[in-house]
Amino acid sequence: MPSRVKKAKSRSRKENKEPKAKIKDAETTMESNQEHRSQDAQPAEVRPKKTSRQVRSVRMLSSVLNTSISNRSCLNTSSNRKITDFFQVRKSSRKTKSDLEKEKRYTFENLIKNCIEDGLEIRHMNEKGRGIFACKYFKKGDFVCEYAGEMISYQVAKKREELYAQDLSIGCYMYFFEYKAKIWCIDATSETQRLGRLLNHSKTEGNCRTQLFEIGSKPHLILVAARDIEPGEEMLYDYGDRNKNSINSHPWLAK
Amino acid sequence: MFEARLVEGSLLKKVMESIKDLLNEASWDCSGNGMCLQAMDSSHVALVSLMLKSDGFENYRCDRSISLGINLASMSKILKCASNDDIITIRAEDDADAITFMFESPKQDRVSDYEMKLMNLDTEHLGIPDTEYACVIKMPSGEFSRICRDLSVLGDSVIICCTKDGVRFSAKGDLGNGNIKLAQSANVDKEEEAVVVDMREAVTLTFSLRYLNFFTKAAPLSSQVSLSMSEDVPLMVEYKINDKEGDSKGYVRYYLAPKIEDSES
Repeated sequence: MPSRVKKAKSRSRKENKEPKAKIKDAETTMESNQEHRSQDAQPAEVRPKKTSRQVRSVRMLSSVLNTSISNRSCLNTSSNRKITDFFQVRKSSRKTKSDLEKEKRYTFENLIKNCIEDGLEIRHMNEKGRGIFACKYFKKGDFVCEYAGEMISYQVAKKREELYAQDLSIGCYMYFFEYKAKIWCIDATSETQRLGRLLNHSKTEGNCRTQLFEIGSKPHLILVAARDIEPGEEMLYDYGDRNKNSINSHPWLAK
Repeated sequence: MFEARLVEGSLLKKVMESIKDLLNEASWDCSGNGMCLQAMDSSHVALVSLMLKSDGFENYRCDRSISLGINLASMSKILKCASNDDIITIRAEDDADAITFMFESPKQDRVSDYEMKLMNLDTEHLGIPDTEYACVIKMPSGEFSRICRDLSVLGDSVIICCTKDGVRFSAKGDLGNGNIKLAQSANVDKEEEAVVVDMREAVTLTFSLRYLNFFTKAAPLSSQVSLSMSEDVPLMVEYKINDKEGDSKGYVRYYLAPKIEDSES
């Protein structure tokens, strides 16, 4: 046997046991079927015996290398555990209710903090003045905008209300609400870029509702879609003022 | 609408470098918290979980949580078109089939934008349980890269043995064997150069070096790496992404399933 084969043999012994056994197998089968083998390698038939041996040895070396390589790579994956043995695959991407809740809170918080009021436009109507219209599809429960203004205590608000009542050009922009057992008011009377103050009232056809949303112990008054809203619809909500005096001064409140 | 503006654009380039060799494709899950990615490599031996927090971006806006299926090799190629000091803005419309990358030079005199098609990926999310690891080893990320590189000369796998004296990494193969021992740093002058071992129980585990060498691609992201180990759970290799003030902007975590011990050894 030429020395090259021996080299291959000794290396394979170190690598692992299997290829070594395979070489032995190959050796014996080759020796016994020499006639048959040399028929496979066509040039060997006509050439002298020495070369046929050489051809054989080269072939064996390559076959040894092949098996050892394939064995190695197969070992690599089979001897390693799978990560899925330890971590369970989540059957679906469905989230738990609390996760959804948390996510919703987070998006709301972001929208409020960044004063985002997307998908809304101001339109001027003859009889009602300004109004807010949807220019995108809102799903029920979606954030619409914040009723942004100055948060003041009930006492201050009452004084201001009297003041505003004297001036007929001032509309109705005070929103009273209860927070931590105290009555507060968002006063949005002063003109701003914010849209929340411009939503019109409808007692029966409202498609939005107000909601108190707390960020770091500061309440925010927000408007959310009370039902699915198509683009082009006017955004309306019930101002909730049933006070007789208010209705007298603003008769549209009853509608 | 999703839009995220990252002043330190090189960060995103580094993040892509840290995952693109291990994963072919993955989906970026964008929500109000930030951008996340979780994916396994094709042989399901390793898992990548990375997070870029919304606070780390100069501008971050995500109206609705979206999942962006991305061919990572393509994204990495596109990000190679950005200079290291460029400001990178990522943008995607809701239900869009493409994502836009905009690169602005710091002087604003060069603005390039690239649009890349998104993929529909069927991703399997794994639930990663909260684990109290028996050992947590913190060391300079460069040191870990070197250990993995050096030992892969000797063999395919490394045995990590963590005791109260320190950590020993050893590998053996055809040409012999090698050991690297790290002792805990006695005096911690520079935090990023320290080796700290937080050990509850001694652990010895075997891992594939091929994968660890993929993980060390994340070394440019952080000066420190932490290896968390417990018997019979995957190793967690974490590179934290911190800003200059040390506030966390996110992380790249790799999980690697241990190798089955050879019956011979």
